[in-house]
Amino acid sequence: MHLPDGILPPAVTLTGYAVSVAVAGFCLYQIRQFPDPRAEVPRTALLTAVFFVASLIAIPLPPISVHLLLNGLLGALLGWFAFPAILVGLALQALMFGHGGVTTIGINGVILGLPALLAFALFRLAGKLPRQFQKLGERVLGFVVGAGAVALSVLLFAGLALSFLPAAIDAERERQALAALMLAYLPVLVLEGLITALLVGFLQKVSPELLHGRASR
Amino acid sequence: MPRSIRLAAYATLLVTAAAANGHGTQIEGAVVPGIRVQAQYDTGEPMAEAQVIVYAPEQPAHPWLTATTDHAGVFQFVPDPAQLGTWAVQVRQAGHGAMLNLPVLPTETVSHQITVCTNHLSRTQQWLMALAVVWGLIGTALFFYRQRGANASS
Repeated sequence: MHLPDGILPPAVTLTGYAVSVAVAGFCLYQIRQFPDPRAEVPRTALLTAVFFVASLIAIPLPPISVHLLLNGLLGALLGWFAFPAILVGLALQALMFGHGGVTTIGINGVILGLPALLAFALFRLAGKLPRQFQKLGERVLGFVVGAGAVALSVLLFAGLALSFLPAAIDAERERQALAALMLAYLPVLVLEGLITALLVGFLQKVSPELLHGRASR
Repeated sequence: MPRSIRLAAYATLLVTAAAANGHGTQIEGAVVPGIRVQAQYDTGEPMAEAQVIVYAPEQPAHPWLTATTDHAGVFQFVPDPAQLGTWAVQVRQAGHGAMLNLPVLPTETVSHQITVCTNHLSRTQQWLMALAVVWGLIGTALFFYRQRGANASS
């Protein structure tokens, strides 16, 4: 789910960088409002490592393979830190493994990072639920944001890939290939929803402060 | 010696010369220069039935040839020997792919068998690098965690 180099026109990749820098700047501005922004760095670093490794593990779903995205999980747990964390993870993947592209770090940041911020916004609504429904609400929203972020990222990926097809490409054949890819991500969508909901339930029991840290306020 | 003949003499042999007779048929093969591209994902899976666009050196903005890879992700073609320079081959499937730049020179003596792959690291190398990054991020986490603890105690 990472766009490689050479797929999109330069104007689109530059726009991707501009949007990513602007969104990351806004996130960093929000982070600076915290009394102690460094307090959230350990959690951010650990979840960046999880994001970095999860994207490298290919899950074979013949005839193709897919990988976990975990951007909804990062959004729910890291809040404003999720977007910079995803950018760092994407840069490391592109520079070290050629996973995605260097010119497309910005646009891939948009594809994975914006759904993470939407997941953060949605997951925060659980705090507004009546106290007796809050735990259940957090788990349900955990599933929704975990699955929803994957769905949104897949749609953004496919939309961008289809919107800027070279004239020489057989559009119908590419549409079919993208449809197969989107279908292959349906199990990933459910899996990530379950992972996020289960992790939220686990943190509610063992370490609620991690779930309701400053980053997610 | 004309340039085209030199290229044909020096470049890749895609098809071994062969001739066969039997049951009223005759098959003839010819020695031709060519380029063989094998497209695969970085997981090692072949990019089967992927779309291929070839751009010639003299017209880099206009496709010279469009085709698809076979089930093994292989595509081969014979470049125009009159067009020496850098040929570009783009392989694309479902938003994934890569662009290759292949210099075709009159002094070529070896086969062009190129693998379209985003990295050429072994699995072991990849995991070692991933572990190094994870270790660095855990170290970062521990550094800030320790610093926070020190601030709290003072």
